[in-house]
Amino acid sequence: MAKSRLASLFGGTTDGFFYGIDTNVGQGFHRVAGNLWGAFLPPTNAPTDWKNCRTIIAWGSDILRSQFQMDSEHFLEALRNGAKLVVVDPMYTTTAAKADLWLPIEPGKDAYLALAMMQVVLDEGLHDEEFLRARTTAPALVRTDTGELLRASDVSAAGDDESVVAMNSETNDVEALAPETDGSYALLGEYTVDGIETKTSLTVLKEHVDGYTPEDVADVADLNPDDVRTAARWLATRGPGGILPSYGVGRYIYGHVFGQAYAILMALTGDYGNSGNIHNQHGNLWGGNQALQVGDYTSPGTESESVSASPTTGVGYKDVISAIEDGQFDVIYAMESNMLVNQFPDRKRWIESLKNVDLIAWADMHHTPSVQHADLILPAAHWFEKEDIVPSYSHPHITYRHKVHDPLWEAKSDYWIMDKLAAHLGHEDAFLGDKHEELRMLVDRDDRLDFEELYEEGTVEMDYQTIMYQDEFGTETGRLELYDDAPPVESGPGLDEEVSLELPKPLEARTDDDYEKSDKYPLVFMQKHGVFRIHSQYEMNSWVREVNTEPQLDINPKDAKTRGIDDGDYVRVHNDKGEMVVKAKYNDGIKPGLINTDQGWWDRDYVRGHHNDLTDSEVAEVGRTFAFYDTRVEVELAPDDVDTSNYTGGNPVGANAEKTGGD
Amino acid sequence: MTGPQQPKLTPLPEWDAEADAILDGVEYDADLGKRMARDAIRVSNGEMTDAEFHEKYHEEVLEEFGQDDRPTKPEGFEDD
Amino acid sequence: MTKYGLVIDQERCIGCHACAVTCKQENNVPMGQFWNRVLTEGGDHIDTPSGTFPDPGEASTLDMAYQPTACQHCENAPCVKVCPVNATYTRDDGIVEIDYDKCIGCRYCMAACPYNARVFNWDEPEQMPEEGTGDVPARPQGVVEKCTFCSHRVEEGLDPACVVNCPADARIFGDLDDETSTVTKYIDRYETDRLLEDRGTDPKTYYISGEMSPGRPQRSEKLESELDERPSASNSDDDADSGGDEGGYGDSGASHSLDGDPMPHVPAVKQGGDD
Repeated sequence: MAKSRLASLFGGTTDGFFYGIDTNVGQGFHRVAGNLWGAFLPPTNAPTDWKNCRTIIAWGSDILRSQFQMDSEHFLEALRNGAKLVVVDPMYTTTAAKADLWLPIEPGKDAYLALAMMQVVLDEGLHDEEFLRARTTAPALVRTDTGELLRASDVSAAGDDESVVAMNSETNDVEALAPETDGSYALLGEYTVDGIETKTSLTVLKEHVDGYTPEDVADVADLNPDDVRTAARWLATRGPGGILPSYGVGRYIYGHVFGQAYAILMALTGDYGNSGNIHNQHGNLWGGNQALQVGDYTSPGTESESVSASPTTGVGYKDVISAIEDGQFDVIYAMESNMLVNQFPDRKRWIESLKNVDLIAWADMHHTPSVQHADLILPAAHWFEKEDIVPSYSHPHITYRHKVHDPLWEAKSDYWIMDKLAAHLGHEDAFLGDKHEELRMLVDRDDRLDFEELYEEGTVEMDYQTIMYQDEFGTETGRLELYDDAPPVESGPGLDEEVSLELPKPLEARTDDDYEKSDKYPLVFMQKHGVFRIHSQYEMNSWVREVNTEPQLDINPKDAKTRGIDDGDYVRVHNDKGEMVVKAKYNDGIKPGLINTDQGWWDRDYVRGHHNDLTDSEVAEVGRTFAFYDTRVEVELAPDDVDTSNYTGGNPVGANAEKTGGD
Repeated sequence: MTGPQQPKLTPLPEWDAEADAILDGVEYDADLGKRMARDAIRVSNGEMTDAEFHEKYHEEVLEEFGQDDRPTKPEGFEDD
Repeated sequence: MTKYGLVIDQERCIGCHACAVTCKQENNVPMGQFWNRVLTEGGDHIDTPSGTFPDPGEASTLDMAYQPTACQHCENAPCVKVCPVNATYTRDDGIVEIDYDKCIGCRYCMAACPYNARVFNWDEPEQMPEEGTGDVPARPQGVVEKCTFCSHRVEEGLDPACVVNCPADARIFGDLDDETSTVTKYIDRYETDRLLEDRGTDPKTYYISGEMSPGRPQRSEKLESELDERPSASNSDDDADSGGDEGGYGDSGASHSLDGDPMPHVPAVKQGGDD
């Protein structure tokens, strides 16, 4: 918050996830369900409700590795209560090891599978008719001539231009569809209305998905058609269930199509608004109630007397790179972030771009690879060395964190630094100069909280909604929109022609076998979120580094042996963009044709190169999100002259690193 | 250094080499340690009694360590 | 009598190594050593399965589980029998412990332990941070060390650190001699195995597989920080006294229960266990 307030003092630019990271699948989902919560994964029931779930489809999510700290007990409780667990993943993960049914899908084929499951649901008549009539546009009529939805104004002079219409099979007349309204609407069929030929949206969808039978898709995605049917039947017939994706599928460039597809699949099975539904792997953003509500603090000007403000500009990560390259920034002030030089794809491009910036100042408590590109380094205090108020996206509490130790050496809190910066910029009054009092002032702005109570109790539970999607959807029609008659058009990499997305259509870039360079670079390269780090954090946690010593390459022994690679050999992973040298780890649980190195390792951990020297910063029209997994590479034995002595010599700290203290 | 994938639960034939490694360079009688370790499992298994085990190694332990304070000493055992 | 034991539910275990690392912190375990390790049952490496990846459309034969492994605290401990100086001994409460003052470093116990649960300080132990961590003094070079079931915590009525810090609630500690304890109930109710039972060591560590248990009941009022304000939680034998505020998010652990047994937690009637 203080960061945004500081930026507002001089009309600065602040960066953000929106768009660029983690925003792919969510955007597809929101096309169907309404843009309720921004671009991230959709809201989901509180994890405390997960125990009521009868079928969980963990889709591209290894939740028990990547989101275990809060939610594993709730996930496990669902399984103990008898939920069927389906895991869709090209890797046999910790989560897959607990599955009733594992679908070892070919990378990038997720939208195919979702379409096949819809085909099964509709073909076998397992769809939830009542839900579809009351809460979706399934009965909305689509004009055969234009492909547009029939509007009320098309059939009645008094009708409006917005409302979509459905055929009431009792009255044999069309009606405008209101949100949350049941009626005897025809779900399937063709109707001529005032001489206009139409079909219901569900009919159009059914015709579309009939091109994706389990047999067709099993062939494309290396699955068993019976398994596809089983997964679809479990979701449709076992009671409330859910699909639990993470950001994995969104790491393919067209991951948003999967978001659109699974939103529709869950509409067919009526899995919205019930106890036992799941829509995403973390119980985040429960109405935003767990964040402090501080009014215009971050963009002062209306309430605040002494502070004049200029509007700030938000730039999504996907656009930050070109903005830097265009020389739009003279100064970058960065804090507690290792994104630019470690976590973003196409790492060398970012490093090169930073030459266009006159001054880079970096406040951080670790000497990260990104910090090393700064002109000025400001040693920031650890979170245990300062008091703060902390929200969470994995539980509905606001926490007061008390300082437990004075900052070591010359470290200062970020608040201290920003207060001084503001003063130098001529805004002595921007901050109170006393963090404790600043926090008190912020809490006083939030009617729900009492400062003394929060300070004393340490943790206050905020109101939250346990069951989501109980009200009208945020779409134009207030309903889940199965068919989009004003669809976005995708024309990105790997596509021969423009594709409009009225309905989900599987799109692929580099994962496609027909990709132009698939012969030269036959392996798809994934960088999973591992269990031993939160992204690039905990690099210097020496105890964990004893368990997880160095970056490794999960490779199926079949792929390794054809390349003459033994278990434990150091290998060079490369493509046109760059390379990395890591140790090969035979793993029979990874699909042949796919390899993995957990993300988050620092450059110093690699014998040579970096995983993000292999990835691309290109994004799709609709997805607008970095596609880390949409990467192809080849692997060969590392050249004889690579020096692996820091690992082979038994130093667990890092190939290119000095031995350092703990975190 | 104990690797994160250790300890394996070692089948007895492989235990032999492992015990050698554990006792390699020990300041005491490695061979005695190995024989005692093997027989201690026999005691656990019921193939040998505490008393038999104690008696079998008493002299050697005394000689090697100058004491024998093992809890396996049977009642009335002459501890000289 | 009290006989402390540990139940590990492998159906719940997610292989996160939190138990291994928290053990290291709590017990001041030197760098290069672990008293508690999380083995992968499957392939040769951490997080790899046995079997081979299924061909397209074929059924999977892959299999993987996690087996956290530390001292099994055997009733019939071979390490105790071979120790010529009685440094390794079994306490009255069943915990196998080492008197580091007596240990002469002969390593006979290590050779005798079928679980490789013991580590030897070959060099001067190095702690991280240097001044050490946790609530246990560092051990010198030349002695053997191992898991103590956190006896220093158990003596204060607390569960071992690995139990408290398991995010999957997969570890349950308690008194095997108490028929009302959670560990006893789980051993009765669920399918359990012990490691290398054919060696006759009679370990006091049990592994659940097959049907998943409710795991360790975690209740907010049982948290360590609140222990002082709620002495009744560890001193009372009144089962009904274990409730806290009902219905809040923090009490979600209340859903963990055996059928017909609303709260598997049993307050310890003696020191330690089941907290």
